[in-house]
Amino acid sequence: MTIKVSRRVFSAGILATGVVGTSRGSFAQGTPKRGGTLVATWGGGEPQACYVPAGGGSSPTFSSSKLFERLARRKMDGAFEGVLAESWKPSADFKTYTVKIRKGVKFHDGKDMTVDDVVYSVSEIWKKYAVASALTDFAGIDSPDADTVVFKYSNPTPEFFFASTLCSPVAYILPKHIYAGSDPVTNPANNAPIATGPWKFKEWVRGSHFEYVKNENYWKKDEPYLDRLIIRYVRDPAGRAAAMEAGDIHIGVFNPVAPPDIKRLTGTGKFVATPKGYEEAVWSTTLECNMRNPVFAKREVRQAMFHAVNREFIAKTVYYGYARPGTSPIYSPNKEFFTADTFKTGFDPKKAAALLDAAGFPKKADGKRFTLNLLSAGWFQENGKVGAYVKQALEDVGVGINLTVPDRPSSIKRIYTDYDFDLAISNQANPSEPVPSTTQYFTTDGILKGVPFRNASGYSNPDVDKLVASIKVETDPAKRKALVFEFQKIITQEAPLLPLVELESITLASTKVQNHSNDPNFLAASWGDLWLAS
Amino acid sequence: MQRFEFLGRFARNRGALVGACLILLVALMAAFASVFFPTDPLRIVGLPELWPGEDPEFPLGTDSLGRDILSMIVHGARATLLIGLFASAVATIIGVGVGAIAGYFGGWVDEIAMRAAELFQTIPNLIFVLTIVVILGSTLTNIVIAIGIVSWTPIARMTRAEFLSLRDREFVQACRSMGMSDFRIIVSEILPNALPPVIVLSSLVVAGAILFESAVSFLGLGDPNVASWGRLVGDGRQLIRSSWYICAIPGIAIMITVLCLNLVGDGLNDALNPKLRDR
Repeated sequence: MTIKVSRRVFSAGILATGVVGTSRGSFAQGTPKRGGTLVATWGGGEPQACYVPAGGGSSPTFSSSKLFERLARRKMDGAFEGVLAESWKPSADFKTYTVKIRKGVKFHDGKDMTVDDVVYSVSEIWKKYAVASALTDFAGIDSPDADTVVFKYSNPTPEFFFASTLCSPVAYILPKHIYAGSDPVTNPANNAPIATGPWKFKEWVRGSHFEYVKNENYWKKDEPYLDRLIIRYVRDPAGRAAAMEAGDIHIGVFNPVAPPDIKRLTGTGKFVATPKGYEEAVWSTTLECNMRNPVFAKREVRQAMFHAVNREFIAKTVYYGYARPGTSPIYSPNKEFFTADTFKTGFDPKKAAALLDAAGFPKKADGKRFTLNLLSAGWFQENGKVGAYVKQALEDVGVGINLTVPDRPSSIKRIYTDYDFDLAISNQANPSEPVPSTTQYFTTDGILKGVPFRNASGYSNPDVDKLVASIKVETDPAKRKALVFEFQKIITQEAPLLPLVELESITLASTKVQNHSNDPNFLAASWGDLWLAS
Repeated sequence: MQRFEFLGRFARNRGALVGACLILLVALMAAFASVFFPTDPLRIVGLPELWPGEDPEFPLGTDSLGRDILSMIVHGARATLLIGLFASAVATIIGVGVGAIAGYFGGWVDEIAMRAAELFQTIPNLIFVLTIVVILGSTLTNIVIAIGIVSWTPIARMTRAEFLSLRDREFVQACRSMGMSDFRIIVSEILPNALPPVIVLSSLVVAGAILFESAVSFLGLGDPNVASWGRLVGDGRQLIRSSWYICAIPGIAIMITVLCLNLVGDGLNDALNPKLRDR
């Protein structure tokens, strides 16, 4: 026994000292042990409510996804898997999808989950709140028999797009008997949800933690392995690191501690860090040009902004290597749609200067070509540092920069409502399916004043709009892929908004925690299969 | 003669003398920052997180982006002192103005002025500063104004108290009977006599302003185009377990400066307070 334990500690040590998240495929070994309490945290704050029908950001997604379930999920290998749905099939014209619903599923209050709950959730919650932008062509849902629902669309809908919609993080099946007839946004059940998942809500101690207990009647036999799941909120990364070190918290998702602490904690051999589990929610730090400023009328000027910036430096220094240079609006972990064959705007200050000269902006007597307001969104501390670097990089090619780093609400207002910036550094997280989450940053219908994380640059190009419209309805996977490649080529050359770096999100877990990071969006997974080794 | 007496009394307080010397040093550092470090202090010049002494080119090391900490400390002295002085000036002008009018005229003017001061005093200072900075935007000027707005109340109360005790003295009554205007009595007769304790308080407001600015910058709401000490502490916070010097160096600079300003305040009190003259 002693030998076994020390070997595990030893192998974890090797893992920790090497590149983060190497070799070991899944963080599991041996047969699952039952019982125990797992304490988890994440790299953000407490949510506004346990469940927010419209999504409400990663925080309520994290807290609600342990209770509620979706119709389907994506697996690590990219395949789709039914959760509350057993299967789905498109019609020949791709305008209807027939979905078989799992039988024998009960809500936490003992009532059976039926097709009525599915119909209610899709038409009243998905269409109106949760995944509205993915259901613009949605024309209704029927339930022909007790275990089938039929989704109807007004246009052909690609299979990958449909399956991705089913897998959207907050596309949950809600209990109709609790939500019908109420305003779902203010329903008190949002803070004490009744759902179908492996975990039952027990209590929310505000300012501290959620406590969830095992759902004894869970439809998936044997799960959950643990007895209790606690989600604790710690405001400060240094505080999280201390709590994990003290053994009070077992696992932290989405960058719970500062990079230097990742190295320190994994160095003890008691923790592992991995970038796995974020393939369907890849974050990036982006730079966008406000097209309302006439300086950016020529695309060469926009390209010059990107040529001036050394993305390798940002990845290495600001993010301590937990990032890689971004080359396309579709991110490199996207197996379906990413292409490296795009227009390149790599680090080349001389080219940047030449492009600006050619565009009619020579250096004036004071050494500046023009001066821009650079707004760096203050919701991540790193953004301020990226801003400081981008300021210097652009000043080196003769562009004067006034940098501001407002707090979260001011940043959202100034970028997405007031359009009060010339250049903005922001962040986005996108799943593999590019429509609408990626494309809405570039299409004309994405210019929605006051709606955060949409097209704030004001970029409007009929060719791009037409291309995205055809991506939306193209049902042949190969042709669709070619269209998305074309989209990436145009956007990288037009450069209204491009990622500076793709971020590697990190999960830090005690070596005791088994079966974690086994979902491409692990933060939003149900966590029924997690267990604690002794 | 009188001036030497003042200096003598000030110097009798050893702490104040040390404090004044160090403040002078910081002021010189601020004045000649551009001579010692002609380039932008926020420029990335070396490898990130070099420890002090690791590279002779950067005696105090570099921060997490590779900026020279010594250069940022020296340039930061300028920003920090300017913020302190101007914020104190704003607070003193508002405070003396309100306090003088309230104390001299009394009655409903006094009531309104003091209720307004109480209103300001009931709002937690730091939260008030943060609110103003968030609304107006985080530029150096706005931070100065914000700190001035929250710091004027003690000065106003002190000035009012002095005016209350002075306004009915014989020399003031003499001025009144000569037909001197209220404005002239306030400015040229009462104010000079009321000023000494106010000056002491103002010097303490400078110290308070530096701490406010540090707190604002620490929370990431400082002016990102300016190297200030508080910002340096805030930037280094994440690295406190591994590269603690990034926080510690500017932290020590803030501590010494604020301590010295307090000592100078004590010295001024000794020098200006007539009751302590024979101590």
